[in-house]
Amino acid sequence: MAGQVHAVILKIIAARSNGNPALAQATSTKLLMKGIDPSKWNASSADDAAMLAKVKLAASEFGVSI
Amino acid sequence: MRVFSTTDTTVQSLIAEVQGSLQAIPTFLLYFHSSDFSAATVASALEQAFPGVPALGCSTAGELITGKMQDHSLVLAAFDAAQVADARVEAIEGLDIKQAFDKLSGGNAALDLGQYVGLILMDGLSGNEELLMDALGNCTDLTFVGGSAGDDLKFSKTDVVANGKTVAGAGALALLHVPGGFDLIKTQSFCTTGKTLVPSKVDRASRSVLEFDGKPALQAYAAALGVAPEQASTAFMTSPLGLMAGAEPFVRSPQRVEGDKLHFYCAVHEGVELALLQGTDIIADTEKALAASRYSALVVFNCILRTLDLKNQGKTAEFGSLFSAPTIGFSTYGEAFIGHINQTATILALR
Repeated sequence: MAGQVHAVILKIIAARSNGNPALAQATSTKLLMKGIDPSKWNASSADDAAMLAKVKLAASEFGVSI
Repeated sequence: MRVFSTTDTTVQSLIAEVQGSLQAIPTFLLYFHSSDFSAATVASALEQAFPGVPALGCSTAGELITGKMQDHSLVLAAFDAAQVADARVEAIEGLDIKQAFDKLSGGNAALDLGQYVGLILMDGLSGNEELLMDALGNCTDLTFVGGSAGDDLKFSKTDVVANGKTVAGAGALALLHVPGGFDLIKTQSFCTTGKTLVPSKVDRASRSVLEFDGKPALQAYAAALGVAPEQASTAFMTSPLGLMAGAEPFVRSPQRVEGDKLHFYCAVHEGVELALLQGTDIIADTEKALAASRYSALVVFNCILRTLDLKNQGKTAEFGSLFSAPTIGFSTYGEAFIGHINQTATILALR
């Protein structure tokens, strides 16, 4: 599979920002602070199991259902 | 916002001055003091003089007040209802910042992000800042800005006080309702060099990096700088690393060398690329950042490393003069904005 990490990142940002660009940027920076760099993942990125677990944990911490 | 300052450690003269100057009971008291002052004495005096007024304070590594940087003093800001309509202050019990935030917000998840802003002060020697900022960011989208308490570079004990109560190991929050709105200013004086380092082995608990890109951390950092490993520590102040959010660096400052390890003033993540930064002009950069905002009062959290750099350059007076609007601030052991950062000034600019 590819792109799962990217998809979860997008879902977190969309859920937390509700279309507000400032909140989207803040959420992206919060992910960076958690050790997840959104700029390094895209739809064709190979899914790293450890990173997938990390983004799922971040979603849970943010209260975002995936 | 009215600002006051004293070097009288009994703070009695300050209390008399504040009481004599204000036309109404303040809505919020914010204060920062040198470790020359007893946190308990200050808190008790303020409680007695202003019962029921929300108050937040901490110890420092230097203070900032309108127009000047100073040491061995206490600075206090008294806010009126026009600027801060309502304030709530909560200690973070244990490390449960969610509970503290829930108490502050009353469970109201729909606070206006343009009219409510948070302050956070943390124990600067606890090493808990990353954990606290992460948990705070999980539970709210409100902006919190602040810093880590200092102790005049003694590295012995820092104090954070919430409504008269000293908080050990964690910190305290304030939630302010600012009807006039606010800006957040984050300024650091660095540019990117185009070189990057990826931590490949870290010990987050001790905020240290063992390896960058599979090589011993000290050697890799020195190679990126183009200097011998034994000279690398002389470049710590001017060449820290930055976690890049687009073009915006969140600075991670090297603290010391231990064998081949590098200790930092904040934790870094394994596998997350860091940019090697190059120092620029603190005065010019801060002036530019302030000019891009509009404000009637400022609350400034300025990294102690920036203060030391300014002292080394003999530029503290010039830096202080940038803050001509009513200002209160202190030299911190770390700054808070989204996460825990270094060598930065985070500034709440009240319109």
